[in-house]
Amino acid sequence: MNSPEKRSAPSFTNGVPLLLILKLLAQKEMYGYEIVKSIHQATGEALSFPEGSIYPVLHSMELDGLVKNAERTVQGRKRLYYSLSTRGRNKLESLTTEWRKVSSGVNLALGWGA
Amino acid sequence: MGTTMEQLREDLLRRGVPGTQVRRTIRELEDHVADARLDLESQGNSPARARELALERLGEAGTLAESICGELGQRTWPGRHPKLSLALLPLGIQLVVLVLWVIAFYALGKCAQHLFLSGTMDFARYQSLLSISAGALYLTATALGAAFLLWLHRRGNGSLGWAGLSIGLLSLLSLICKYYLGISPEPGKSVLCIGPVGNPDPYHPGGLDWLRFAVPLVLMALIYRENIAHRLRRS
Repeated sequence: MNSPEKRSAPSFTNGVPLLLILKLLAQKEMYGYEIVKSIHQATGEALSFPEGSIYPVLHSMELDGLVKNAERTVQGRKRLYYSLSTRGRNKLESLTTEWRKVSSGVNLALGWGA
Repeated sequence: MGTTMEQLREDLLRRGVPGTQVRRTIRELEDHVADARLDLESQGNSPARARELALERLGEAGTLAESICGELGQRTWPGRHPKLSLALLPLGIQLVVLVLWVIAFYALGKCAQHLFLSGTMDFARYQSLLSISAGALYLTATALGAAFLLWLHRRGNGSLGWAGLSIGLLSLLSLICKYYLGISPEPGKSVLCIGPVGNPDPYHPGGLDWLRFAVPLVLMALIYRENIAHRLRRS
């Protein structure tokens, strides 16, 4: 589960995890396990990845200023919640546009229409 | 869970990932496993089975360490090109250190010259102020350069080996690049004198030169103390 940031030759699907995390965090702030569960639910369990690999992506996104974190105590447990920054919202917009373009292109190529 | 987390912790420290980052990652992963266990137990799994499944879903320690270091390694230019940055960064930083040093010294020297010419300061004090400030400013600039280099390495791949080589080269350059800086006390002569010391005699490093050599290494030892201690324990 690698983020596409700062890659010299980003792979075709590299933006997927980033896009999904940004989309989920745009709805509400979440902690790591909640994000993983939401990805499974939102994609109908279509994506399979080692769940622990979400954290380096989140940390990388944080260093890039796309997300912020805040520690909160919920039901006696301290959790690190992630939320979207303004930069993250802008990134979500640009990635969504990019993804629409790519997916409609692939659909067209496969004969499924845009 | 203890073994997986301990393995991961060891692996990350060995690779040079900062201690604070390692602690945070381990804490988040432990929380993740605890949440997954609760979920799996609520689905009817036994505590032992739930623990096993939660760890399985988390991923193997080696894969996770790879993923964490890979993610960090791709973040910065030194992380993507460790060999090139090893040679270029210390040279570039040394150049910036010299430029910063000259600018800072010039500003301070001009103030001192003004004080001397206005009679506020006698010649002996003026000379010693220039001499002390030249050394102190060079030392500060070297420390700032080393801190920047270490920051780049930590932000990037965090590799202890590359950071060590890079900072070692910077230390060596700091020792070799010894210059004389002075500002003329004569009115109207504000020309900055700069030139290598020791010419034509062979260069013999003094106390301040060794201090400049040591500063980057000490900074590295402080910043990477957990990783270095871990390596020493292992060896």
